[in-house]
Amino acid sequence: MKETISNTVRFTAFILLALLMLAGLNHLFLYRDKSIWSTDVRMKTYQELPENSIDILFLGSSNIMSGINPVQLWEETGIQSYNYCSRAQSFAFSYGYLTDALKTQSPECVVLDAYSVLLDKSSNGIIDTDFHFGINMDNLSPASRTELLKTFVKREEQLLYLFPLLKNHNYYQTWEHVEDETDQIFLGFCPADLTEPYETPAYTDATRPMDEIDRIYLEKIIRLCQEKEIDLFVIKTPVVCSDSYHSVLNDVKQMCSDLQVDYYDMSEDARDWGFDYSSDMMNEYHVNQNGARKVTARLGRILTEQYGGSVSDTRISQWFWAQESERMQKTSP
Amino acid sequence: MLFNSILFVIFYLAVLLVYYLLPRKIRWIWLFAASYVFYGAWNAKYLLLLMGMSLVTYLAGFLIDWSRTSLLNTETRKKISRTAVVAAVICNIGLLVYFKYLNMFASTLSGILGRLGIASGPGHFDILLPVGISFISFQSLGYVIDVYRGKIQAEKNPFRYSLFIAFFPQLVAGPIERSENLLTQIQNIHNQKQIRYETFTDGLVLMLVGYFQKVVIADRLSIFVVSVFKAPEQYNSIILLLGAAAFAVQIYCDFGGYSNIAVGAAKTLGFEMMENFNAPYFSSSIKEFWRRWHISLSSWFRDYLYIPLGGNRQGTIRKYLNLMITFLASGLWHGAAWHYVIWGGIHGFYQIAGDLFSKAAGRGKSKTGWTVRTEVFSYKLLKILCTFFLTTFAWIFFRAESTRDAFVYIRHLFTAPDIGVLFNGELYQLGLTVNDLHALLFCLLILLLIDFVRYYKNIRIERFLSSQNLWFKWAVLLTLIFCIVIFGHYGLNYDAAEFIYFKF
Repeated sequence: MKETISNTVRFTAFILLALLMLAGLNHLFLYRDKSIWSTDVRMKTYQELPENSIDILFLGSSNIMSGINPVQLWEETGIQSYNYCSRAQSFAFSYGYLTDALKTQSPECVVLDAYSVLLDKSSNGIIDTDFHFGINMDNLSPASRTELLKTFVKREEQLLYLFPLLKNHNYYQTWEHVEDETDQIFLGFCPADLTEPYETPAYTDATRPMDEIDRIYLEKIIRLCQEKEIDLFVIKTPVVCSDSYHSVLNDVKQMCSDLQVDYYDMSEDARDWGFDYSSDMMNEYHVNQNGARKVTARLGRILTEQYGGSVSDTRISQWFWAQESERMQKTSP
Repeated sequence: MLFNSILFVIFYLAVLLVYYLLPRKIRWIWLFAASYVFYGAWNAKYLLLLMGMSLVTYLAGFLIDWSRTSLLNTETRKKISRTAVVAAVICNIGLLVYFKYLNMFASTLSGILGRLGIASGPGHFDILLPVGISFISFQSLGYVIDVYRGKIQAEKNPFRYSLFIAFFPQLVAGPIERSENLLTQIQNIHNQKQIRYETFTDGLVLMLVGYFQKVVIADRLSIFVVSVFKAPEQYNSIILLLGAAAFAVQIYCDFGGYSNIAVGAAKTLGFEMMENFNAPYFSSSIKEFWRRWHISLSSWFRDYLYIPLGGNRQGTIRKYLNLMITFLASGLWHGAAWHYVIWGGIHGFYQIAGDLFSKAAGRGKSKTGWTVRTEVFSYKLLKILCTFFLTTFAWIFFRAESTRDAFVYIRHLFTAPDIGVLFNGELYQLGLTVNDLHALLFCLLILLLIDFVRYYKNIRIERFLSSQNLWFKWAVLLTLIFCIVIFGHYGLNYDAAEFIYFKF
C-alpha cells in the first residue's frame, strides 16, 4: 500500500513537472512578430486602449493597414479610430477580430476593407498566413479561434492550434536577430514609403460571385453590426487589379446594396479628391505614405459628413491619440 | 495509423485505460478488438487478408496437433502434419509472392523477353501491398513450424490465436514474435500478475526513446538523405559518404525507434516482447552485427531457413552456400527489387569473407607468432568503425531506388574528396538548416550515449535509468521530452514520414 502511494506520488509529480516544462516552453515559443505587419503588437495596443474610447474601427487587410492613418484622422477630424487590420486578413478573420474587439469597445462605425474578398482562403493559405505572414490566432479568444479553426484548418491540424507549442515548436529556427520594426506602427497603421507608378485603372462593371465562405462571413459581419447598432461602411482603397478581380469586388458592392450597407469604391472618383496612381501607390495593392495621407483625408471628410465626426462620450481618452500623434511626429522625417 | 501520429497516441491511451479497467479474463478480447481496429484503420479490406492468413495457419496448427493425438498410424500422422505445414507455407509464401513479388518478377521477365525480342504480357499489375504482410506471414509460419516441431501446442481458441498474429504493437513492423514467447503470454493473460510499477514505467520510457529516435533523428535525417540520394552525381564524395552514413543512422533510428515504441507499448500492457536492436553499430564484426540488428528477423531466418538447410553441419562449402541463400532470402524479404537482393548478397559475402579472413588470420598468427592485442580499446574501436563502414556501404544498395542508382552512387563515392565542402556551407543546402544540423548533432550525441550504455553495460536503457537516482532519471526523461517536442519533425508544413519498414 505504501509502495503504491509512493509510486503514484512519484508518477504524478513527474507528469506535473513535465507539464510545467511544456507550459513554459509554450509561452517561450509563442510566435512573436516584430515586423511592421505584426498582429501581436496591434492586438496588444488595442487591448491597451481606454475602454469604449474609439469611434471608428477599421478592419481588413494590408490595404487599409497601410492606407488609413488613425493618427492623421484624429488630428484632422477628432475622430478616435483604430486600424485593426493585418496582412491577408479575410472577412472570416475580420469577423473573429470584431467579435473580440466589441468586448472592450463600442465603436459607432466599422469600416471594412472590401479587398479582403480577393485573398487566398485555401486552408493551406490560411495556415501559411497564420504563421508566416503574421495573423497570429494565438491571441484571439478561444471562441473566435475555435470558429476559425473549424472553418479553415484541417481536422488533424486543429489540435496543433489548441496547443500552440505543437505549432510553433520550430520557431527556434528563426530566432536570429530580427530588427524590431514595431515602433513604426501607429494605432495599427504602418506607412509605406516606396513608390511605383501606375496608370489610372478603368474597371469593368461585370460581376463574378465571391467565394461562399466570404459571403457567409461578410453577412455575419453585417448582421453583427446591425445587432449591435453599429454603422458598417465597406470601402475599397485605390488598387490596380485585373478586371477578373474587380468583378468579384462588384459582387461585394451588390451584396452591400442588397443588405443596405454603405459601399464606397475609392477608385471611382480618385482623381476628384486628388489621388494620383503615378505617385501614390507602393505597389498594385497598397498605397504609399503619400497616398495614405490622401486616402485618410478623403475618408475623414466622408466619415465626418456621414457619421457626424467624433462622437466620443468623453474627452478623457483623447490622451491616447495625442500620445500617438506626438510619437508619430517624432518618428516621421 | 502511424505510431508517430496524434491519432495513435489517443488510440493507445484509450486501449490502455480500458485494458486495466477490464477483468483479467476478458482483457485479451479487448486487445483482439483493438488490434483489428488498428489494422483496419490502414485499409478495411486488409482485415480479410489478416483473417484469412490467421485462419489457414490456425487450422494447420490444429491439424498438426490433432494428428499427433489421433489414433491414426504413425505414417499417416506424419503425412497429415507435413501436408498441413506445406499447405501453410504455400499459402503464406504464395500470398507474399502475389502481393509483394509478382510485379518484380513480371517486370524482370518482361525485361528479359524484351531484350530477346519476344513480346511479353503486362510487366506490371495494379496490386495494393497490405501493410505488414511480410511480418504477418513470417510470424504465422513460425507458429506452424513450432507446432510441427513440438515446441508448442497448437492454440485451440481461434480468436486467441488471431490476437497472437494481430497484436497491434508489433503487427505491422515486428518484432517477429515467437509463439513460445508471445502466444504463451496471451494464453496466460488471465493469470497475469498485477503489472509492476517499474515494468509499466519502463514501457513508457522505451516508447519515449522510440519517439525520440523516430520523430527527432530519423525524420530529420531523411531530409538530408533524400537530397543526397536524389542526385548523387551532383555531390562530392564527402557529401555522399555523409549521406550514406546518415542513412545508416536514419534506418536504425526509424526501425529501432518503431521497435522500441512497439516493445514499450506491449510492456505497458504487461507483455514482454523480444528486443529487436541491441546497439548494432557498436558491433565489431558483421557476424556480431546480425546478432544485434533486427534480431527477430535474423533469428527467424537462422531457425527456419539456415538451420533446416543444414546450417554449418555439412562442411564449409555447404555452410557458405547456406549463408548466401539465407542472406539473399533476407534481402528479398526486405523489398521486391533486385537492389535489396544485392544488399542481402553483400552481407552474405561479408559473412563468408569474415569467416575466411578470421581463419587465415588464425593460421597467420600461428605461423608468424605475431599477435595483435585484441583486448585494447584501439582495436575494438577500429573493428567497430570498419564494421560500420561495411554496413554503410551495403546500405547504399538498400536505400537506392534501383541497382543502377546504387552503382552511380558508388561510382561518385570513389572520386576525389573535397574537405572544403564541410566548411563552405554546402552542407546547409541539402534541406537542413544550420539550426537543424546543430539540433541533430546534439540529439545524435544523446543517441550515442544511450547505445553506449546498452553496449558497455549490457543493460537496456530503461533498466539503466531505473537503477539511477530519481533526479538523474527525471533529467534524462525531461530532456527526451524536450527534444521530441521542440526538435521533432511534426506539425504544420511537415509530412509525417512513414516508418521505412512499413513498406515491407
